[in-house]
Amino acid sequence: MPVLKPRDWSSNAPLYYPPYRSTVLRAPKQTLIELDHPEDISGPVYDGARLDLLDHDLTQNARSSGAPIGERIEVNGQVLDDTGKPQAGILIEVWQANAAGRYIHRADTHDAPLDPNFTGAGRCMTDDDGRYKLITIKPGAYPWGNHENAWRPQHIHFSLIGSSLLTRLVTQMYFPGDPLLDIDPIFQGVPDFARERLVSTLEPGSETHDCALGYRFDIILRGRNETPPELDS
Amino acid sequence: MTSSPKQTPSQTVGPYFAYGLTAERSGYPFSQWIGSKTSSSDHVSLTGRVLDGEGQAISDAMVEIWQSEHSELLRAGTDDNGRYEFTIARPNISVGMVPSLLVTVFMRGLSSHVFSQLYFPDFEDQNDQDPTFSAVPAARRSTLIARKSGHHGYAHDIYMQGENETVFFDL
Repeated sequence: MPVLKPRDWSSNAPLYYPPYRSTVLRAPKQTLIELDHPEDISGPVYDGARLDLLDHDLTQNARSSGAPIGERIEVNGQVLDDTGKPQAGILIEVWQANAAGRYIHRADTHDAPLDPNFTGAGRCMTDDDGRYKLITIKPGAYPWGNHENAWRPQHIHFSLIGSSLLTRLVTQMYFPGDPLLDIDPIFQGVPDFARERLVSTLEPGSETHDCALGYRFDIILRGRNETPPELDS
Repeated sequence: MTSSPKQTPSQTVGPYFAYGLTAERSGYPFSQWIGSKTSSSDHVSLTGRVLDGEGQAISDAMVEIWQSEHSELLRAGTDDNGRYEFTIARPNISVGMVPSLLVTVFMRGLSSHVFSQLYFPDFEDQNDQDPTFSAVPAARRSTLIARKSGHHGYAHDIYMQGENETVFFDL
């Protein structure tokens, strides 16, 4: 019976991490309780047929008067588990700021303009090879008040739900060479050997070459240890 | 042979997920696939607050619950008072299983989501037979039991930190 591998906590930021100020009152302080015989929990199965044609294209799914402002990019990637197995049927939900670094969320009061043709929300599902494609505008950096002159690096938020609820992941995709990465507490909280897994790489997409700059972002979820049949109980 | 790929680290969900993940209930113009109401006709309400280490309301949290008997994933954000609202299928005991919900919590200030469980007061005697429930030190089990609310509903507060800190699991 395959057993789900543990969460790789050593590759994650500590929950309590004072340089990221909000963690101080929100991070659980008690040790997380482990179970002797943890059970994998099968999750929901999503029907890809429900996707609207433009759900994956944030440059088109919220237009009112024309194209959104900013650098058009294509993000391609593959979702695998940490045994290298492609993950089909994963629901990916994304959200992000516009090119000026402004979210449509009411709570974002940053003095940067909203774009009437951009909401910055989208979704897609991985195909049988675990691959996905998104088309969007490169989001701007924005100030966030964590410390003096704190600016988040450019990033796209990703949420992934697959066949197991225990492999659920919420993360952020960053862009190569962004100078803000070196001084962002949210990114820097991740141990240094693991940080590169959050940074996309420049890679041409499949759209016509002069249409959108391509980035690649693979995402690796928890996998399963296959146990030999004779040890099955 | 190539070495196995390594798990992608988590990052916080941040404060602005609502228009993407909980759009309809938050009033944004984007369709929401994962809602907060069960499709079961026999349903009850489950509400509660998410609170920080000083007992203050967390108005930008997201809670997901999984009701395995119905294979339903529900999702809700908290409001300005830190309150979330679900309509869940009425919990019923079934063969060999005590009803419980898997609870997943996300928020600004939480770099990785955390898991909890929710049990129901109607099944107090049977809860102890649940292996997950009994793995929790007795003194902390009450943080996982909902309380009755109104005629048919339940209420449950989630304390991220402090003397009433909810039990979270490493699943």
